[in-house]
Amino acid sequence: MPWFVQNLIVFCLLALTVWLWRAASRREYWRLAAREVAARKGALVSGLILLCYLLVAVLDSIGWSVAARDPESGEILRNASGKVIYTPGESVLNRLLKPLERRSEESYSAPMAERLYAAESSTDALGKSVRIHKELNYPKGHLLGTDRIGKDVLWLSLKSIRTGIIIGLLTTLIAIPFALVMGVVAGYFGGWVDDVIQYLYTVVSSIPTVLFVAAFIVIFGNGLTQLCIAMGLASWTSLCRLLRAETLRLKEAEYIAAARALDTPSWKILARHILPNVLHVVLITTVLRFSSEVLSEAVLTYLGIGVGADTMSWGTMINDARAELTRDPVIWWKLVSAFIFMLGLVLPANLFGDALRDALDPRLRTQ
Amino acid sequence: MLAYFLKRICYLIPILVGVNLLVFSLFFLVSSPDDMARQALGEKADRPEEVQRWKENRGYDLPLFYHAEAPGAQKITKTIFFQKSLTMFWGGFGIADSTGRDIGDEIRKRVWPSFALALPVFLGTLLANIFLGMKLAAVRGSRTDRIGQFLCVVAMSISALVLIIFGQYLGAQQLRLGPVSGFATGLAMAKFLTLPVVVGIFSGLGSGTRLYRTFFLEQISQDYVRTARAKGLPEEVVLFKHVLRNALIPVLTNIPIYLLMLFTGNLLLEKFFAIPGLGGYTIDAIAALDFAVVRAMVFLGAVIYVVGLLLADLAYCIVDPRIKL
Amino acid sequence: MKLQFGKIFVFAVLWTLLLALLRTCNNNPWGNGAAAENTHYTTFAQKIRNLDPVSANFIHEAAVIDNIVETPLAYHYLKRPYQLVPQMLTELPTVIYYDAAGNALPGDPDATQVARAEYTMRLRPGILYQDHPCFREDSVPLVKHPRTPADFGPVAHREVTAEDFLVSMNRLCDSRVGCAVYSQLCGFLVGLSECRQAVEAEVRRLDEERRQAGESAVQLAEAPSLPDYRKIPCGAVQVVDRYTVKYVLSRKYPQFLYWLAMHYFTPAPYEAMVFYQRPEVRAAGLSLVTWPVANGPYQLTKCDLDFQIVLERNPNYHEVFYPAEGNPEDEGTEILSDAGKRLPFIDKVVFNWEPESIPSWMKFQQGYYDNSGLPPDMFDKALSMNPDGGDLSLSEDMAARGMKMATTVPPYSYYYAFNMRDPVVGGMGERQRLLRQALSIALDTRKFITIFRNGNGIPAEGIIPPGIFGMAEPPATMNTVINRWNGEMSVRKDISEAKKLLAQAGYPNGIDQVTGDPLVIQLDHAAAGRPDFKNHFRWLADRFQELGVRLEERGTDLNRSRQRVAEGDFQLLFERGWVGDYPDPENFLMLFYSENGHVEHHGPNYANYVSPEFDAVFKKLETMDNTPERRELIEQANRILYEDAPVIWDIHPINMILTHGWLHNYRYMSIAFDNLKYLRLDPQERSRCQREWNRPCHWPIWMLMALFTLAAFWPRKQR
Repeated sequence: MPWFVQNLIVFCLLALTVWLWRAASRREYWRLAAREVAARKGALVSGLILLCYLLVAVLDSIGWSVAARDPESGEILRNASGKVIYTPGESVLNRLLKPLERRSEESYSAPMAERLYAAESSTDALGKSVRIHKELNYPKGHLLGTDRIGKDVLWLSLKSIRTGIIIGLLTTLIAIPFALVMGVVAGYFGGWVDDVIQYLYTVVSSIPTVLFVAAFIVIFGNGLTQLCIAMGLASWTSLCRLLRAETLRLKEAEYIAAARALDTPSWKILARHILPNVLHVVLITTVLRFSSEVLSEAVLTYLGIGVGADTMSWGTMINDARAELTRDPVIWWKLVSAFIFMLGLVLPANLFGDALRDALDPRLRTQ
Repeated sequence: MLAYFLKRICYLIPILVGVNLLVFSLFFLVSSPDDMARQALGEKADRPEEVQRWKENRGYDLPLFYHAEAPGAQKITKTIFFQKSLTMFWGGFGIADSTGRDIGDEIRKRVWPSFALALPVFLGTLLANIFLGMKLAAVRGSRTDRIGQFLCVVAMSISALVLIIFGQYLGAQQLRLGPVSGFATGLAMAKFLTLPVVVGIFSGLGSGTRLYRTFFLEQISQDYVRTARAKGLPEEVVLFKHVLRNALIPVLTNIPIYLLMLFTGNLLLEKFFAIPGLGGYTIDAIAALDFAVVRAMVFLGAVIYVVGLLLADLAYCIVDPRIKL
Repeated sequence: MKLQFGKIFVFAVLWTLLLALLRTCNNNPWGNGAAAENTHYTTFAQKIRNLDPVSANFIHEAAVIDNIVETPLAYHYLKRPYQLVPQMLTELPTVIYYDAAGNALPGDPDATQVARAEYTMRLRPGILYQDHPCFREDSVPLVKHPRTPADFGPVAHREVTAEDFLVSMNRLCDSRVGCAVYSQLCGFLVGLSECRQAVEAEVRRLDEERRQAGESAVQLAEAPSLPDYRKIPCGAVQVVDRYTVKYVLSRKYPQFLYWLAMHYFTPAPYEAMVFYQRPEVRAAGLSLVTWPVANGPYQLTKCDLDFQIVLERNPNYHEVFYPAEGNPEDEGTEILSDAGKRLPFIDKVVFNWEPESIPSWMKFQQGYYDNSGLPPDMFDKALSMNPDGGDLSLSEDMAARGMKMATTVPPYSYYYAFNMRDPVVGGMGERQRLLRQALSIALDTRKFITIFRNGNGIPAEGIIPPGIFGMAEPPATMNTVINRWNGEMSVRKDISEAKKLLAQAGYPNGIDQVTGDPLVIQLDHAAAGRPDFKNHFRWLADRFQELGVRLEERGTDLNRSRQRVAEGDFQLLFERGWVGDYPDPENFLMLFYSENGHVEHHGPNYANYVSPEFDAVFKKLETMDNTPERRELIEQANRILYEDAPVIWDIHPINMILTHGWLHNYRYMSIAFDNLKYLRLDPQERSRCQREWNRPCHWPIWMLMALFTLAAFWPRKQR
């Protein structure tokens, strides 16, 4: 995907978020909820951490290409017809992390180590064969160590954030339109519409997710987008059910009954009264489901149906750990890094989600 | 009661037909039988005539939905959809594309090891989750509750892969209490299943406990609980008798979903512990692109889900007498 | 405080249960006492689908089959390089060449003169098949639901005769059986296609007869007609008398002898085919595919392909003895201590399905498997550098436990194939050739071996692996296109050389001078599920990135990847291995022979390399004996390949097999796998070690239980 398109998508998403935020802040209900969330210290910190993750993901999703330069002379390269040649382009995060990325070693090294993890056969001054641990190019230069091909694990973990966020977010984004439309319509109209939609989501939810994703990936190829689409298509059903139930409940509310009595067209009722009042369910589910989507990526990677080989992800790091854990001495740093970074996302997402739920859905108040 | 269930069963059949149709279109419209033939025949034998012969032998040389040239009813029955998809309703799963063996036989052979693993995992997880969820709900808001919840999220973040490897290392290599992997029939089965069952229960603990805690909390805030407490009943009685009973309804709603998750969760357990069950069969089928088997397993998964729905219905009636039939 | 009797009772029961449970717990997967039996435990990690010697096609299947069947010739168990010895024959087959006019040519004539070659095999009398119900017409099911041939009885056996080779060959020609090497055999055996036609005609005739008799199409499909293979003549196999068979070849092809050591050339009793045709046998789900009937040292007694395969000693196995001599360095060592003893030694062999390497390795460590491959990730744990010599040896801990290691360089060659039909990387143009050479230099396989295989591999100069005649020997015959001699060994040229070549090819800094686009190479693979694939890919991409060339992955499933390869729709193929069928350079160089081109001829020339120059040299050296002239021709062929670089030469792997001290006579075989009959076990030693290494450790469980009990009885604050 060219950078132009990608930047545009990110921009649109950000604009959408800002618009939703402003729309929400005009409503008393959301304002109160926001105040309540902000009053909880844990939730506030969680929200900030989530924002940091999001920021990294956004930085990794916008970028641009620059003109290629001759490595020696530094001149801008042009092709035979004089057109400037552009490099493939890099994200903002890549540019920021360049020094980290360049610090590569030959193979594994432990965090803050001075020498390589594995010994290599070599001959010493007397011509005897010995096994030595070579010194690193950047001794004590890797906060979280390096991986098999000598890449900095911190860099890998940071680059994986985007993958994690995309899986967590895009999957739900794909699921939301289906779930929202079907759930609300089924709940509001009832009757045969309800029957058909219930039938549809029972059919889809009775297919085991892993098998569905596997079939989808096998057919459309490996890749982050395909994975998100497959997982999104498989997972709209649970949200749909929640939304249907919520709509059913709302339908009985007096103000809606009043609107119906006044012969307000259905679409207006749906758009004005129902939709804004079920959005909190969407938000809560998105945040709470985040973690399970991120986690399932590891299992899918093991089955060979995860993200592509040039995409960094925590799932890949965990999957690599299968072999690394059995080595002696154990290579623990990759697994631990992936775990910490994942926990850093999953834990705040859960805490924040809980706080959101308490604030938005007083029925579920827990304290 | 019986009439009600017959009605429910009739309602479930169209769902299975829908699954069937969905899976069929996913597999046959996108991946042609030629692909399957090449896959099954292996690298050294993928000449066109052999592909054709393979398709003929397995019945993949028919049209997809409608056989125009065939006489009478065969217009419908002599199609891939009828012969490969609809026959599954009466147990005709057909022949595995990769091995050429009867899928029905395989399923019958493998369903017991799978079941022997899945049932204890299911019950164990259910009990452990209810117990821990209840304990956390009882001390809601306290520091223990917060620490417990934190531990739950930490547990959720540990990949099942890592848990399995660690479990094998600890149980079989360090404590040496059970075999690393393997399987046996009869009583010896218990020896092989202990370790995977414990690992399986552990891997479901984090998310389950959190979920059940919320179920219980929903109930605890209800009026009847307050009344019960006001009557002076001990807290444990209130929780385990009144709250549990009512919280069971959302628990039951989750059982079909849970059964499905078990089906997929067991893929990993069976593969790593070399248990010759359905999960390992499915993983191998995915790896070998054995569409016939994957199709059969998707159908089987759907059947499990649907049966779960039915069981949940039944359980509702027992738990909550207010639900009328 | 009130005493909580209920709770106390519950915990008392729990403690007793735990006590009882822990006493019975151990990690022995085979059951107590199994270790003391003369049973060999080993593994299979890839799915076995087929045990029929004629249609099975994979190495991991051969590892089982080769011990059930017996081939006319076999490789000497101990001697390396590999050497053929008669196994079912009284002596090596004799060959007579004939010219086009039918005159016998004396000596070793030129290949162009030979129009026909006859190999005569003299069978040893008295070789018996295993006991099997198929040899009795009156055998019936002994149980209600038979699951194995052993559930039928009575059983009998008979002698192997020359006719069985004809039966086997006719069955091989039967297209319904699906023999994968049929077309390869057509390349040198006489009259196979006529034979195939004859078999097909006979099948049609039988079908017609059955249809006349009123059988339906369904019945015909369910029980395919069985032609009488004994009666169908085959040009390639002539039965001279009861013990003499003649194979007729259409050209000079000395490598034919190697084929006689492959499982495709085993005798097959026609009675077995008739037996598996019986309705009651079919109903039990038995077929030749999973229950072969043969005359090898072992017979199949359990065949659960997803779980366990069990072989047991064939009591009818003819007299075969342990070899009395081996390699010069074997003289006086333990491996010759069984010289002259009758084979096999082990009563029973259990193959267990072990798909994951970690559990399998753990069980080996615990002594429950007698041997194990060494997964690369275990190298550091298992191996240590001998401080005096230069060789890797087992770590002290493992050596102290009596383990032994067998290291071998099997005749395997790995490579990354370019598609020579691709406009960018393929073709014989100067530009493309330079590009291929540059990319080959960038990929430093020596580094790859250090990072991914822990040093266990040999960087390939060309296609011919070590141990095969004509292998490149640096510095004299090294690949000077990509390597240089640093005084000690051949190492990759500097990356700056690759950059220079790339600039010469018109891609300075990886940018196409003409179009201005950056050069992107696509890597086709179906390896996404391989554990280390992602690292491997990223490492490759990094190497190409040093040149400014971008590597993109184009992953798919095995299925479509194969289709792409078959259609020539790829640029660079991910690491591919060629496993030698027999130890002859022809079997490797043929990977570049134009008539083996994969797209056009479905041959194993996956690069679709076409070079008349190479073809001419190959034709010349193809049928030669291993003489200095042949070595020279091989060198010539190699030079052409080095220069054209149709593939990136990767590595020759080094395999390491670990065995426990109680398993004797282990020698790694990498071409045929009939090694089980030579192995000897010391079950007493095994039981002792297993017991000693696996004492259960109970205290953490007790601690946990104690904690739990304590928590339950902890006095609680009353609200």
